[in-house]
Amino acid sequence: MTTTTQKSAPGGSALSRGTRSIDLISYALLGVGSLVMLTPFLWMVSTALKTPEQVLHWPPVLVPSPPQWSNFVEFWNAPPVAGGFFRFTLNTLFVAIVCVVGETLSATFVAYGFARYRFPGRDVLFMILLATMMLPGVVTLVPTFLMFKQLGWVDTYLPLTVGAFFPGSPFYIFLARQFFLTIPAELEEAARLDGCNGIQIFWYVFLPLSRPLMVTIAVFSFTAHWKDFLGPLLYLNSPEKFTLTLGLTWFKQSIVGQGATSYHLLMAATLVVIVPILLLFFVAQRAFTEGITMTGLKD
Amino acid sequence: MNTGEKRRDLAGTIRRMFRWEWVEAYVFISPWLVGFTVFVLGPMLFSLYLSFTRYDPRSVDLPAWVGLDNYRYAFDNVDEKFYRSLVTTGVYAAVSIPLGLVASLALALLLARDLQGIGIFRTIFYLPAVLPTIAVGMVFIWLFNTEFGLVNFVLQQLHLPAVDWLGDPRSVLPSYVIVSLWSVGGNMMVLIAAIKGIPRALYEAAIIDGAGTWQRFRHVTLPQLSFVLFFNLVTGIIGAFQVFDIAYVMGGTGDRNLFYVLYVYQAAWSRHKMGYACALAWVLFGIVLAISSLVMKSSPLWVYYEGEKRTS
Repeated sequence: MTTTTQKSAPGGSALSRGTRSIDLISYALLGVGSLVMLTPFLWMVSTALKTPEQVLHWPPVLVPSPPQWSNFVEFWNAPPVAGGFFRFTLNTLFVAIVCVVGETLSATFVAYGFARYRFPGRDVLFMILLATMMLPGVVTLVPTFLMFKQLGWVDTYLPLTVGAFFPGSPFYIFLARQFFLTIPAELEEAARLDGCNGIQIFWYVFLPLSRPLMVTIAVFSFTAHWKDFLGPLLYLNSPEKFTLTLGLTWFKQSIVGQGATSYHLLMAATLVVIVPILLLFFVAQRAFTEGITMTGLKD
Repeated sequence: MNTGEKRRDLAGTIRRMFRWEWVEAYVFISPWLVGFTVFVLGPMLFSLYLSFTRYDPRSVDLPAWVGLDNYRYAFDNVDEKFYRSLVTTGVYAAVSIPLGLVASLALALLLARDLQGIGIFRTIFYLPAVLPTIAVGMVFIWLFNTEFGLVNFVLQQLHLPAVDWLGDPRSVLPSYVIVSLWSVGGNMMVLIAAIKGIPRALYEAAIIDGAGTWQRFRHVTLPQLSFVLFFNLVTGIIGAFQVFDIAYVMGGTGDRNLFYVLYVYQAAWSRHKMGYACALAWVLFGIVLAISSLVMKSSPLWVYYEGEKRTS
């Protein structure tokens, strides 16, 4: 602990012997730590490239030779439903994209109201909105399910997507409001003089300025719905409608009886659930980290 | 007192200045108002009502009022699983949250330094936190496999006895804590940002005052980070009491993985006791609210706010 704080404190010449040895210790710690953090990934990839026999080999083979690339073809059709994991992937994409559109638009729309207007009840309503961020979702789980069941929406995608248009997560409204608060008032005053109403100002002035904000919300929303498990578990019954997370657990349960022999296919399938999120992460790393740090720095 | 005139005056003011703006504002926030009413407030009230009823959605009967029976059923230990799930969740929270805070702080202190290639390390440590929990569970089931898993292989190499991770009641919760520590990157990123935001002048002043490394950490870094640590603590508590996905996927022998929300899920969707499940949900809400407000009450004692005088 003591060594690690050294650098955050300035002082001493950067090349002093003490600093250099502290750097070395830091690198050693980071190297060992990184290895531990990366091991589950490596184990997953390694298993996904094994034959069933190699999966059961002891001691474990870390680099399977030859790598079974065919596993990545085989697993797609492993679940006993037409289309298999390909079908699940399309279903998940559909749900996630609809939710991204819904949440990005509705969250910025609502946030504009909170950020750029003074109106009676605003502060109270915004406090309520912030409070709902802390609300454990389990409290509303049963009644929401009964409501959707009453509507006949069980085993459709409606329960998974409709909420997104009344921005599913108050966090996105919060993010968008923070962003809109930083935009100078002169912009909308000029637009008002040109005869724009609020909706036009929002659409033609604020949204074009909000690209980074919308990317952040879209990235968070996509990840959240890609990951979602409880929603699909409660609302989807037909295997051909399953999303990836639900399909993956379903597939896992179907191979439980076969012992460890199907783990190569399970790991290949798990990679398919993970890789798009990893790609998204590397493409939109800024959006990820900015969003995550904003959650902690609100005051 | 001419109230009529006053009212007309007020009405006049309202009409002259604000009205259209208000209407526009409410148009903007209306999606949230609708969503809040339909998906939050309505369900909460309905859930509170259901918690005093017996209701099986498979039958044609409407919910039947049973008063406090559901709550009594839980607390009078008629249903022993209630306490078991509470203890499971509580122990998990009590172990994983402090460990997670310490681990994320230690990592953040390491990773906030301006070393060459530090960005790659930050990415590596943050990455597990963005993964779908279901996928994480799948990987760890396989890592924890008793016969063929990598974890036991490493233990063997270190001449340690193999552990039946998810099969031995004693090691189920530790397995879950290990998984939670793997995903500590979110908190870590928040802390890194906070560390980088600490004014350097504070450290310079501390050095002039003769503060050593430990003292600078104790009296500058920690107080400056206390708000973020407090925030991570509160979200950690709420998160720990909501664990579901991982418990559903990883399982664990002898109900040792019976996290509270998994128990609520079983009550509602395996045993079809919707009223009881709602009562359980409200008990959880009460517990989370109580713990969070305790933590918030205690915050003036240990959370440092900017501009506040501090002795010690």
